Amino acid sequence: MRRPLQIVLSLALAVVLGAQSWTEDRGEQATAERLMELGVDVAATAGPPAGAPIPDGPALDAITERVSSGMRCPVCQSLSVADSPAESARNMKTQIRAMLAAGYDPVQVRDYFVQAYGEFVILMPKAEGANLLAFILPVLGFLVGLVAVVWTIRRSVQDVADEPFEGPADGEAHELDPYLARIRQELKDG
Amino acid sequence: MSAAGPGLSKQQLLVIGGGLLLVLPMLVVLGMGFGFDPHKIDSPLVGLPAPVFELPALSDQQPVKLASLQGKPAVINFWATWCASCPMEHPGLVQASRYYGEQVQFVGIAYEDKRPALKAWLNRNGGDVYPTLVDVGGKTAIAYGVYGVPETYILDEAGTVTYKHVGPIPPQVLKAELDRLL
Amino acid sequence: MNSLLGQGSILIGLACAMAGLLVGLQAGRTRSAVGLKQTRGLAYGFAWSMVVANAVMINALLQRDFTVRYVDQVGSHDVPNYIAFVSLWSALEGSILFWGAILGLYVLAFLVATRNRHEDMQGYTLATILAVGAFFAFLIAGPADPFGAVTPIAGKPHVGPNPLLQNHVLMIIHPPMLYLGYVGMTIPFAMGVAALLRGRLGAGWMRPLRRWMLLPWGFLTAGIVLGGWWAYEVLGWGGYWAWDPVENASFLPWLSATGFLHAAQLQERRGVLKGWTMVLLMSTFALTILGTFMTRSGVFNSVHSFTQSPIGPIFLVFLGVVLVVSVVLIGLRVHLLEPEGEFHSVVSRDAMFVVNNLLFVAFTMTVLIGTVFPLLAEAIRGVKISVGEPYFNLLSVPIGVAIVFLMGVGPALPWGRATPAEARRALAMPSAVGVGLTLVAAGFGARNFWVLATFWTSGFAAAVSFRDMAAPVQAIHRRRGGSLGSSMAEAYRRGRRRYGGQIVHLGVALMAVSIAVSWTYQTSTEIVLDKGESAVVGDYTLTFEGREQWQEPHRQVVAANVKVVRPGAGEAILQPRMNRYTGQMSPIGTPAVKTRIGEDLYLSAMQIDDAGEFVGLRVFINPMIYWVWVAAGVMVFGCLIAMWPPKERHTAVASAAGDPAVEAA
Repeated sequence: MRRPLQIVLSLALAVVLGAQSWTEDRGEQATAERLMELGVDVAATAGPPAGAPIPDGPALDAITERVSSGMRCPVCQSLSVADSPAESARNMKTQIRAMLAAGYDPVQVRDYFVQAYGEFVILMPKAEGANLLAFILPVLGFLVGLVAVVWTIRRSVQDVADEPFEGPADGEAHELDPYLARIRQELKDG
Repeated sequence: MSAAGPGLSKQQLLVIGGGLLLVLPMLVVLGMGFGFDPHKIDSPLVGLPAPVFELPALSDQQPVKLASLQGKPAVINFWATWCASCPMEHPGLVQASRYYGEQVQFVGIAYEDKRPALKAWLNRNGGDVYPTLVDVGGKTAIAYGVYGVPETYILDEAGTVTYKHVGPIPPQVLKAELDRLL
Repeated sequence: MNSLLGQGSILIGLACAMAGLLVGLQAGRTRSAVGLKQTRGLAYGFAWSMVVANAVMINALLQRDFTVRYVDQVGSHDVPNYIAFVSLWSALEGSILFWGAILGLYVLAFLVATRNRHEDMQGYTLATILAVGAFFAFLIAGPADPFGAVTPIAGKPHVGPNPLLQNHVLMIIHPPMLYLGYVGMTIPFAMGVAALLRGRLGAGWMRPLRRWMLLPWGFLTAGIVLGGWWAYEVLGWGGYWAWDPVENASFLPWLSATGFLHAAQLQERRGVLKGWTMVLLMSTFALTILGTFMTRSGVFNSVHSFTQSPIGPIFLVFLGVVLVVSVVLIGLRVHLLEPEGEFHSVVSRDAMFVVNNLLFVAFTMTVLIGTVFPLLAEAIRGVKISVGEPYFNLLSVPIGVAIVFLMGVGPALPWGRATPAEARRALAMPSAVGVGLTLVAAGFGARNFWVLATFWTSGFAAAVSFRDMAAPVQAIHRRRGGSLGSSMAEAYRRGRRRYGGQIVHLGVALMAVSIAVSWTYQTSTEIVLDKGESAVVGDYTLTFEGREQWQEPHRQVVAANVKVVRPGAGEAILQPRMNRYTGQMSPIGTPAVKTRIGEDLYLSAMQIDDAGEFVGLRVFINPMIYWVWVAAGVMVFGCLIAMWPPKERHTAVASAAGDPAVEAA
């Protein structure tokens, strides 16, 4: 039973290193300008920016927040890059910010990271190919359910409507009378 | 159990059949999950040109470009001094670098680490056998899609990524991959 | 010694469970009183042996008896005793043993509650429970054995359980609550299976089942929210729900159980949807097994999950058995599940219950598909993908808002049939309240569509709930006179279940609004403060005063003292910390949270300089998050009220005939 023990300990370590990203900055601090530079590979990999550069400010902050919350932190894998305090995540966020500031649009930024890390790094599956099932199946299930519900209720209501109605017009006390009285009472009260 | 005679009524069969139709595929999908390791992620860079970088070397601060590695197979090893399993692979890498000599270019890229610590560590562990580059800001690690350390990328002469190894790379694997390229 | 005792207990438990299963089936078939007595005896045997086994393990953990395999794995001399206790459920084998204990406790509760009732279904019920118990006992005895004897290796470090689990006191209550929820679903499931086996699905078969479902539902609600609260207080990323596969695993049975509770009400009153209610009942239990499979199989990428081990496939087989048996049983009894009543109109509470179920099932399916989809995608495409928060939020927000809306429409409409005019009249006042609340929210600056929609629907639903609680009081008061207090007491006494339900609805409405606000309007800022330097974030002025350090038995704590000043309030010192555990390389942080009614100030230390010269902080302001916890408390309180056994037992029919103004419990 040694191997499972090692696995558990490694997993615990991985959890510690991964999920809990309370690492102090291990890497060297780069200067602010250096951080806002794109890596030399970006132009080659991602092509030219599709849009206009965005200046520093709340607009850039907002769009960085949006794009980075759609990306998974590679170290602490249950958090988004926006939420994760891990150094790798913060580096990624800086890179996202630099790319957006240079005018790359969110799709280009996403594709750049996907080419480096794989589709695993984005939190919303790319809506193409087999991934579309992830969107179609729930909607389809809901529609099927809706049809079933409507059909069940309609059919039952129809059965009731088709029955000859023996109402209080007969003069007999009907078992629903106390309920009807209560409803009227409640509606008056409410 | 059934109300009408032996065997199952059509309604019963319909319900059982429909239910199993819904339930069995899910069990199959879950079962297939055992074939996958949820923590193992294949690198999309395999088969693609390696991302360009230009990083300062630890020893002399001179920038080293990816281009300078081309013409020969190359091994790019991301590592760090704080990484528990990096010391396990380091001797193998050093030995391989000596073994292949001029045939293969070895490069280490420090991931989230500081120069003084790197220098001290290398001094304690056999010195600077091949260049170590410092990835300040982590942009090269991002370009290569590094999930953690150690990770090793093997490039061919043209600069295309042929193999990525996650975790300490065993010497046999290293040798096998490099021999394939030579 | 501990090993032997533990293993012995488990084997006895396994034997009792297997014997009880067989005897119970026989007793159920022949309806023999003697057989039932024997089954009950064996059930007691199983329950007590599970409890004893856990007691032995706890003793071994406290003694740090490293000759026992599990203690060798998670025990440590460095941790305080309460952590040693909590390690019982900190790793896989211990958690299954703990599951056995909870199951044992539930069996004891069931046996005590049913001791004076000779039910002809009890044999089958106990047999089913013991079948589940036998499975878990088998796991503990064999593949996931925590009691094995190991020879301790000198010099081997014992670092204790995962440090994340040592960080906070909530770790002590969250897993037990969750397990009390999960495991508790076994009882109503067993009752459903018994009813199917016996073929007794006529009127009223579900009544005793309801309380046995409400109890674990309440625990599960508490457990899920406590998990979120723990994540919030411990993990430091400022949020409380990440749609992680294991979080989803706990949410799925909750959704299914809630759908069931509503469908059961409809079935009780109207005799419709009997087959569907049974499907929901079986699904709820199946989802608990799926949940435990997801956590323990190692198949899912989650930070919660335990490692991949041979018990994964065993759980999958068990899940398969549960699903197939359920399908077959329901199929064979389908002719007994024909509806006894009918729907009279779409505009009625009956129909709204059905739509409620549709939405809950849609929600369940969405979460299930999203969680399992990466497996499917990898199987089809060979590529690993992620399905994360953006996906779940996209799909679940509209469903959630629709559910809250329905929570208002349903109780507002009468049973049976309502004319459009009656419906309009019923919905008018609550709609106005909803609009009012939305305007208030907009006045505070809310512009996000879904946030405003949540305010509208929650206000609407809350108004309906309040009216529904007040109406019987008014009716009684009008008829009987006397004090308002006595009218309230009388209304409560007659309609306890309904009051409980409405209180839960109020809790849900409050939670919907709190989640919407706290998620959408959270702000996060990163600052670096030198010693003595101040920064202003929101209403607060933060000053870094210095660093503090101290040693605890299992960790070294480094804290940053941050003075927080808010104009009009006093000042406080918050201490976000970094904890360095023995044997871990990287420190783990604990955030400092200042909770106020309106918002939380939440500080995470990113970096505390060794010399105490500066500190890197992440400052979050989380509005209304306090109300998420309050709302959960309201829901659990409502559940307790709904569950509380009445002092006098009067049947629903009798009291309805006696007082038509009040719906009976």
